[in-house]
Amino acid sequence: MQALLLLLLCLPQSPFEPEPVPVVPHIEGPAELRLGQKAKFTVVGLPAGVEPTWSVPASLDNDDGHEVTPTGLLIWPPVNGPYEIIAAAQHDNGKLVVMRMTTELKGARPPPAPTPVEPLVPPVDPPLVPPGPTDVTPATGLRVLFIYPPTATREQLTILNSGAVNAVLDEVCAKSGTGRAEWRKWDRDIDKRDQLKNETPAWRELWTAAKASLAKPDAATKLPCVFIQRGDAVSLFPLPATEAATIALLKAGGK
Amino acid sequence: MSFTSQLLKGEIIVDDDSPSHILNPEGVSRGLDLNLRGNAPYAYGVSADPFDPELLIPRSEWEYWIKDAEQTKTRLSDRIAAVKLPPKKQIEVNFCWSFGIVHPIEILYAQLHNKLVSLSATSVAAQVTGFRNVGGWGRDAVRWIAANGVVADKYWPENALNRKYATAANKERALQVRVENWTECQPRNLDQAVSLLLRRIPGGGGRMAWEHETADVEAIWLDGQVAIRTRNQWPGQAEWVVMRGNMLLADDWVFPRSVSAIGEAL
Repeated sequence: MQALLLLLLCLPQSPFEPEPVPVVPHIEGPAELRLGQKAKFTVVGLPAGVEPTWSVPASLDNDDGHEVTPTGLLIWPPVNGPYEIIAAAQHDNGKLVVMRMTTELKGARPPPAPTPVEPLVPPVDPPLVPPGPTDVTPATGLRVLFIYPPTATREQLTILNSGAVNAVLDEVCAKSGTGRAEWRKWDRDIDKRDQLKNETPAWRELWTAAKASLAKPDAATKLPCVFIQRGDAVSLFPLPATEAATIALLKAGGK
Repeated sequence: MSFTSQLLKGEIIVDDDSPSHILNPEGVSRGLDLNLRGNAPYAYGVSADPFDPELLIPRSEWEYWIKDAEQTKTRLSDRIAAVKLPPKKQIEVNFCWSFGIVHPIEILYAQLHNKLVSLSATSVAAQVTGFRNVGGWGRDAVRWIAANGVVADKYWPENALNRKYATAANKERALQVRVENWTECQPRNLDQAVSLLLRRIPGGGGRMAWEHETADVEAIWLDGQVAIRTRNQWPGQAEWVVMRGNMLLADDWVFPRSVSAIGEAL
């Protein structure tokens, strides 16, 4: 038997190269971290062009405040301990692969002793945007409000959802401080439950003016309609019959 | 020659005969659980806004409506593409029933309020379930959003099941983003659901055969029949999915129809 084993060991190697072993997708990154070290993780073994989606476990057991950015950068509180991250990506004919890795932070403060009551408020909370909306008065350009009934016809819905009309609205309307074009398309019942309280004062004023017009006896026949505001002047128009006519109305600035 | 809708890039068709790696890929999260439809036997219509018969569109008109929307590029998928509204990403949380409702709300903001928002479906489901990673159904999600709102995912990450985000500030932020009107269709009632979709009203569609709820975006026309284009939130899987055959009908169909204006917030 020993002679047979010796013979097998002495046989020349196969002339064929071994098949390359496919790389199983996995996360690579530091297994240990020191405080202040950049914790960057990557996924290897994915097909070219496939980007992973990063997350942390959805479990209260991991309620330690660590997060991972879309580029795989771990953000952790300065507390010693293990931190688990997850990467998910498509691989091999649509199969979703979920990869996990745990890294341990050392050199920071020890984890706090468990407390009987979990605090609901995190240590750091981003500042709240003031609830009072910031108003924008258009120096140039229009403010345009479409109001429609729930039973709008197919032709009317085509105009109200037209990409060409939207493009013209983006072009002729004033821009808010965030660059948002000043147009809206609202259901006639939009303020039934005080839905507009967070809208800017200018839009609420325009709605008030619109509602006064729509309260007239023949209002039902006017829907859908378009309110066009230029400076202080507000004009009411029935929704034109075609996309082209709507674009022409907007380009003329409601004149 | 009869009309047939064009599929979107990368779109797949799902029906009863679809292979299991399409219907049930490994590693994805779902969460639709219609056993949770309340303690009492489920009764359709216990909602803020049941289906209004005035909204019904006769079946004989469906093909024409679909063809018109496609040829004029006035579908919701056209708007989604124009503003580059990304799909949701559900990872490791069993909250499809909230993701499927929250994405239609994002679509409504893009379509009607000219506003791109990215909202946290987990912020809704976590608070509905008491921070348990369990299933549910669409009406619970929409009811919560109608009463309490939904917070942007920059304040509450999309898959973070974590009490640390349930702060007073986030609860106040959520109140700015609420559903005001919504319609619950009768389960598996194709006429109601297609009528809303043809009117460019997207909704959550939960299918027990799939145990999954997604955002039903529009109706399309394939092989002389209606089908439904839904947007799935499984990362790494096909984003756009066409439902037909027995997979066409949803057991849970909830349509947010109007949302509160948010001005320049978020």
